[in-house]
Amino acid sequence: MLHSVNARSPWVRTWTEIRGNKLAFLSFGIVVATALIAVFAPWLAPHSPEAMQLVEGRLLPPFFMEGGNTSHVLGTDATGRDVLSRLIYGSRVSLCIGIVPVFFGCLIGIPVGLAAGYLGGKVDEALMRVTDILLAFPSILLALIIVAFLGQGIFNLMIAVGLASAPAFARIVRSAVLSERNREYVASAESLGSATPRIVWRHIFPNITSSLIVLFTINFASALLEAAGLSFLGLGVKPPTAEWGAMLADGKNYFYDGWWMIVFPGIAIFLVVMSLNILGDSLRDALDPRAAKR
Amino acid sequence: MNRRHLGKVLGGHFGLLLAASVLAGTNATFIPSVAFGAETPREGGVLIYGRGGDSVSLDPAKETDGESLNVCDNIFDTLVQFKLGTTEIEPGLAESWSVTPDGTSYTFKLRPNVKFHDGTPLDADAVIFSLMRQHDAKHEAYGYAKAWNYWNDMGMNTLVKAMTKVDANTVKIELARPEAPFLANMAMQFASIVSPTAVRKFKEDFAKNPVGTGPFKFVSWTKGERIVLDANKEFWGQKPKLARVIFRSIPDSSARLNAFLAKEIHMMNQPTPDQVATIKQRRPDASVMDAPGMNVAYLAFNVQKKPFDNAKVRQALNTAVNKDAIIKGIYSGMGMAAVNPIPPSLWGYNTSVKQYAYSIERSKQLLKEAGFPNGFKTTLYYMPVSRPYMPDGKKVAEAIQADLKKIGVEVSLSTYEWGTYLDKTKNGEHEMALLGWSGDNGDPDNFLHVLLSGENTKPPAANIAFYNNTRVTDILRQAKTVSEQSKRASLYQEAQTIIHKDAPWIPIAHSRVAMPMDKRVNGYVMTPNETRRFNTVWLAK
Repeated sequence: MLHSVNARSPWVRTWTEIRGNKLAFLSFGIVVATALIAVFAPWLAPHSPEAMQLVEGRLLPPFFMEGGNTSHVLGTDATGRDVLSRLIYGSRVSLCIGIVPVFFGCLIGIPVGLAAGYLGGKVDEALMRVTDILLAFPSILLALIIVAFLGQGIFNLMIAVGLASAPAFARIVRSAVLSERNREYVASAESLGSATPRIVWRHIFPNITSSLIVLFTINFASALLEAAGLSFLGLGVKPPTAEWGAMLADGKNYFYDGWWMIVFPGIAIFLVVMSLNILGDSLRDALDPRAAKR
Repeated sequence: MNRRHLGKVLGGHFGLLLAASVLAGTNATFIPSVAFGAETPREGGVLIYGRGGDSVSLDPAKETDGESLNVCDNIFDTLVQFKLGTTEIEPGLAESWSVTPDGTSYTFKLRPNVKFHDGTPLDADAVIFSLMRQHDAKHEAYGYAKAWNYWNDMGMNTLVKAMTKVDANTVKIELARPEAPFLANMAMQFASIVSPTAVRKFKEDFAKNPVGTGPFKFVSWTKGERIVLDANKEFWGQKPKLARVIFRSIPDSSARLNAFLAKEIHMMNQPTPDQVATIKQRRPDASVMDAPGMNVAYLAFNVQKKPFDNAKVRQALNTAVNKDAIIKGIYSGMGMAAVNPIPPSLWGYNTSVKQYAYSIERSKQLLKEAGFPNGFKTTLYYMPVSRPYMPDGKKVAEAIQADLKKIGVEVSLSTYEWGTYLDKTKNGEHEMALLGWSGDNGDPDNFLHVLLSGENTKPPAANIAFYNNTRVTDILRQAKTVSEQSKRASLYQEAQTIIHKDAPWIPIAHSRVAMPMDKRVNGYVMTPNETRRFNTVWLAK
């Protein structure tokens, strides 16, 4: 063999790992399928997600139950909107409010972590104390405070969840940088007179991407869950936008006679979050040299 | 909160002004007979009443919210009271009263031998103490509340001139001017008679240790959880059959439903219409009592903001909302589409005013005439909580949003925490807002003057449409001073005609109020003013 496993690019290793692990492959499939559903929602949804039927057609059960019909495969909600169509359109919002905040969190967390880890000293001290303060709040509480401050709405929700996930990124990037900065290749770059930003971006950063891919996947899952939670609490999307967490909140008063209103969005959230977590786990196995399978 | 400013004037009970109690001197009951079936009422038992929130305090003069006042309903009495299940006035702690012909001096003769729960006697001093503590800034107990809201909101602070003790059992109250609704005011909770001994003993904490003359005595209060009351066997009226009543707070509505289905509570306050359907299906052993509520749910346009300063726009939006679908789909039929701001059960209701018929074409035509052929963008505030008049503000808002979309009006929905919501709407920050009103004395003034008079447009305003039509304001003011009910009724009818044409609101619904209860609960009477009194109630084995 010319290459050791660890010498391959993290993306190649990621793909190899996913293909080799049935559970991870299934999870990957679910995430990709959800993304495709989100993209092609207008063609896939049988009804408009906002079309109400207040007079006839409220609380229709799923097709397999008595009283249900195949026009509304998963039934209708308390205002007669098609649950399946809302789930399909909801995947757009739910995936967005899962992924955008994580990018946002990266955008803040990675530079902070890089700076703290590489520069050390007072900079590290200052940045990490701020991070500590933010980490001391449960992230959902932090997001709640931010939403309360900025007001309700999808955009604010994404900012809130993103800001709440930034400290975790900063922390992990910093520790990854700390373990890298004393390696020989950094020392050699320094001795060659490279500027600090160049060392950080060109030498250190590529070596911590594997940790970041894992963190990104796991955080995607938790951001999605958190956003659903905030929507459930009524702080997320504005009605009548379909979103899985908001659908759960709408359905909770119909626990007895409209179980389909909570069960289906619940399953959707569960499937995507679980898939992302499994993916994250198997990626960690693949990318962490210390945890790698031999 | 929505029960504040409960009408500065009411009336329609002038016929009673000179009346003396038919039942004076007896200890008989004034409760309308209730069909108890073949069973004889059982003594004893503990009734558990599940409700959506805890009381703020238990001093009936301090608080304005239903959850506080409904507990006080059982602990305290008033000089005169609303006959159970009606808004008619009947003797309470005063067995008779008289009024001078000029209408400015009332003399109340107290029922003899009535004792407070702490054993002290009810006398003229106690009556004067209870009322003057809210009135006289120099009174020893005046400082025990931050504000005596109701007293001031009802205008009692400027109305009452003097209160004097004629003898141990007679009180004379002199007014600055004649006021038709004075007697009805005296039947409202804020005019409850409290034990002066207890107030002196507990000071501010009287609100946590209430002592009155009512059918139940206060036992304990676990904040956020339960309030326990025991029967007062010495009660002067219909003696309670129950040994104990427990008010349990279960704020989450689905948790409250679960508690009822699991038989943890005997009665469930404020179920949503869909929950009523669930209860009927899941607990066939329960009964659901319901009665038309004395209420209205409405959408208020902020007429001071464009484009709602244009009556054509307001009429167009009125025409675009399919109220029947809202009643059927969101109220589950537990209500009726509102035409006027007052419910049809009130005297003075104008039956000749006709609903803006639902028509998208007509609505588009009106919008075009108003200069908005392509519609416009606006916002609608919806209530975050369920109220008796509106079970689900969010769904109503979504339905209205969908309706208005059809005429090109793009509505964005917003909501806030309930206290903030009331503040924002009172300050006129909204363009359109959903709100409602539960009246509790049966006078049209209680709705029309409070909610639509130009006098109430100064923030924090009760008139959240900020509707200021001088003609309407004049009529409403005039209707306060006239004493004859038929004249007042025609004034209110005229006001409704103008209001309908100006359309400052979309009146949405008058809801029915439902009370699911265990089949074992007997003798409960629903009241139009949403009081909860349990001395007629008994629990079967």
